[in-house]
Amino acid sequence: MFFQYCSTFVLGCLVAIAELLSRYKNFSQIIKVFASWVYLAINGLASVLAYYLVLQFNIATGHSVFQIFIAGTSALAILRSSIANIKVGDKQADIGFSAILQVYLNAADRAFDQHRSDNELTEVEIIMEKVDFEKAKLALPTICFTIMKNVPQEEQLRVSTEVNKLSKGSLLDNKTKSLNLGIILSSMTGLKLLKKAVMVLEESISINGGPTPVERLDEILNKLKK
Amino acid sequence: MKNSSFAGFLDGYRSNNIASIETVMNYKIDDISDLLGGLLELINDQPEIKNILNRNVSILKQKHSDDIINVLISFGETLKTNISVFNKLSENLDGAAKEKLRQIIYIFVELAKMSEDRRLINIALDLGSDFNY
Repeated sequence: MFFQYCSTFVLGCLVAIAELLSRYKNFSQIIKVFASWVYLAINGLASVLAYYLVLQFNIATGHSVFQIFIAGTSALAILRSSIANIKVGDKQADIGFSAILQVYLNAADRAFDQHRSDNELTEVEIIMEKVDFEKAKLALPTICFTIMKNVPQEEQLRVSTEVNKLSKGSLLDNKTKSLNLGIILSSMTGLKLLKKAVMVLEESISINGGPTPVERLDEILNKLKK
Repeated sequence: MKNSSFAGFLDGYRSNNIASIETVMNYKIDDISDLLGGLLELINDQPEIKNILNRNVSILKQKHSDDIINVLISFGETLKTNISVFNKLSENLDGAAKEKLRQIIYIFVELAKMSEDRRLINIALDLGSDFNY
């Protein structure tokens, strides 16, 4: 019986992990955030409670695997359900278990953001320290996506839009743009792969190299102005 | 054929970039067309060069039916191929015509910079290094 309860708990946790992974992309960071563990525990315990009710009230008969599956999935469905949807001010609010779950999800969001900001900013700054944004803006994402192979097209389009906006952001200096490029890419690649990609491309994307093609075009424009 | 794993990024970047500058690029291409028209009027006595310039005018007119970058690449290639002719022309022209030629090259280099297209930038760099300032 203990094994069945454990299995139900794990099933609930697995679904919650999938949900968190779809939000944060990075497993190693998820496990460092306390709110993520609370979120997993709520999902796991809800599944265990559902399994207990299934057994007590004979809701589903048959093999225990079937009962675990019914308990696990129904608990997760109930947790994500809302009885009504009311409008508070200009926002929609759910009434039901989903609202409770959302509180922990929001807390995980905040904690994850804070945790990531703390650690990643320093590390990304070190990795991108000598990277010239103009040289790296196409080369670096391209090599990251080539290595990763399975980044969906929609995700690549989102990154291309962000990089394009950065490129057009004339108020930002080169260093800030490089740092932002590193943050955008590291959310998908993780820090290790980003570091490796920067190392591989070091010669062609480094600040200390020769003038970029765009800088050479600027020189030509200056000559033509005179 | 399956797209390469980074195609989404590069295509997305290119279409985002072109969408945000297409109107300005179109205006600048119109400026080049006007300058070419003005230059044609000033070199009535040189049929060979008029032919080259007329070819450039025709290429720019394709902007309504073809990809704007492709049109500029064709235009730039024609300029590049005939750069020695233009340099000779630049030496022999009077001030007004010379200024028009210089402005055409200037706008083309500006367009290459805006486009961020590597092929166009390479053509503009070649033009910039070969043009007799």
